[in-house]
Amino acid sequence: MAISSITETTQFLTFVLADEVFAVDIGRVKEVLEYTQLTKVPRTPKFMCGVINLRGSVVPVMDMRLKFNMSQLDRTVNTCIIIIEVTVGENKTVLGAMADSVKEVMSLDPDQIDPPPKIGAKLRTDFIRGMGKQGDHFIIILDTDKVFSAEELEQAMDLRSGAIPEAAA
Amino acid sequence: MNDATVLNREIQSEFGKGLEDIRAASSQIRSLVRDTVVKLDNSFNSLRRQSEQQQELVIGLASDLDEVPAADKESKNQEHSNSANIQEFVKATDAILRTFVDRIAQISQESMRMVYRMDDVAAYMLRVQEHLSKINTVVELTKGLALNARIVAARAGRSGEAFTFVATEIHQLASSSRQVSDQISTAVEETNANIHSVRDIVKEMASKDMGFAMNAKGQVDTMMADISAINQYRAKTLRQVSGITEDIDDKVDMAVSLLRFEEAVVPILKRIERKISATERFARMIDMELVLNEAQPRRERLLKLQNALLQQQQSFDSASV
Repeated sequence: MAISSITETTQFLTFVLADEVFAVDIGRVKEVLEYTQLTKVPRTPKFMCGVINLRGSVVPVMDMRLKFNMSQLDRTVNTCIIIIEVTVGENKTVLGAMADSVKEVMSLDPDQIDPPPKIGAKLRTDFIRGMGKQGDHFIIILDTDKVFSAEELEQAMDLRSGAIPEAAA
Repeated sequence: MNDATVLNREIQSEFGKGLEDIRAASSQIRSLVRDTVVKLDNSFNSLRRQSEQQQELVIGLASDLDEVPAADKESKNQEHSNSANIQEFVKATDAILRTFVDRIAQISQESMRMVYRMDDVAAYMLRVQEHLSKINTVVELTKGLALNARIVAARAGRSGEAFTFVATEIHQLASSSRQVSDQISTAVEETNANIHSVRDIVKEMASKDMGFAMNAKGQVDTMMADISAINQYRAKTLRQVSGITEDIDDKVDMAVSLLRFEEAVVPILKRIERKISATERFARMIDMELVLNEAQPRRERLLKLQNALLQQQQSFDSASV
């Protein structure tokens, strides 16, 4: 069964998180950076590790391991930050996703992609666009717009604009 | 013939025999003495010749052992100056051995210099490694750049296709560079390891050689001292023998000179023979027949006897035979 959202051969950027391979549409990827010193911001959720200065603009960085409830790991030489464009309604914002390592840019045909698994109502799986097949391995194709909740994205935008986030309830 | 005549003849004969015997004995003594002197003379001469031979041999041996000064060497005959001189041999061997030992010490020093050179090479290798790590850094950055280039190309859509190819190639180049860099690094490490092991070997060798050279020098010195002592002892002994031989020569000379006693003895024997001849004449002159012949006057007989006696007394002491 083909996925409606993926109708043609698309290029994806693959990266690794805790031995799992994930992919994002390359159209959403602005660039890839090596890990640099983050500036920690107080009173932000745990997965928001801080902000970086990207050619003058402030970009919030998310620890994808913590977002996906994986164990936190120390930064290695391979750790990188993937700068992704996300759309919130009408607004576009940019954030950084911290991954263990970046793999490659690869193309996938629609017939190489399976629909996302149905695990149950408990876990939201709408952030998975599909399962890419590469030989024996599966690649989890993420829907970047859905990975972060609207609330989280708002916080991110606030950070960018310099507004101080409200005290957590 | 009367009794007096017979008696006279017998008395004369008796005198003649006795005196002849004595003369013969004297003659015998003379020739015996002559013979013996000749034989002794020959014997002493050959003894002297042998003693000279012995002396020559001893001197020859002694000069082999001793260091003979140049002046003495020229005075000896050709045979000796060509023969092996042990002292010189010892000196030459000593010099050769010292050359060897010095050479080994030199080689040992050269080896140590080699060791320092190798240390320099190792330091240089380290710098090469530093350069390699810089190359690796550049390679990693290039890879990152290639990745971002692909992302940009992908975002550009169709018009970015060509650039995707370029970006991919850049990535490949970066990977190849990394490979080559790693190979160089491995080669450098192996070289370093080799240099270190060679360095250790050379260092060990150098210290062993140095130790051997020191030992050998000491042994050579001891050996030379021993040989020298032996030679000196031998030379001393030979000199002693030479001294004894000279003594023998002197004794032989003395003996030969004593042989000249013949010159004293022969005249004495000749004198004896002359006296015997004179006595014989006297005996012949004493004519008993005349003495006993009473026909002649007594006074004439006494006179004749007296004359004979006088003649004898005169001729007995004369030198002529």
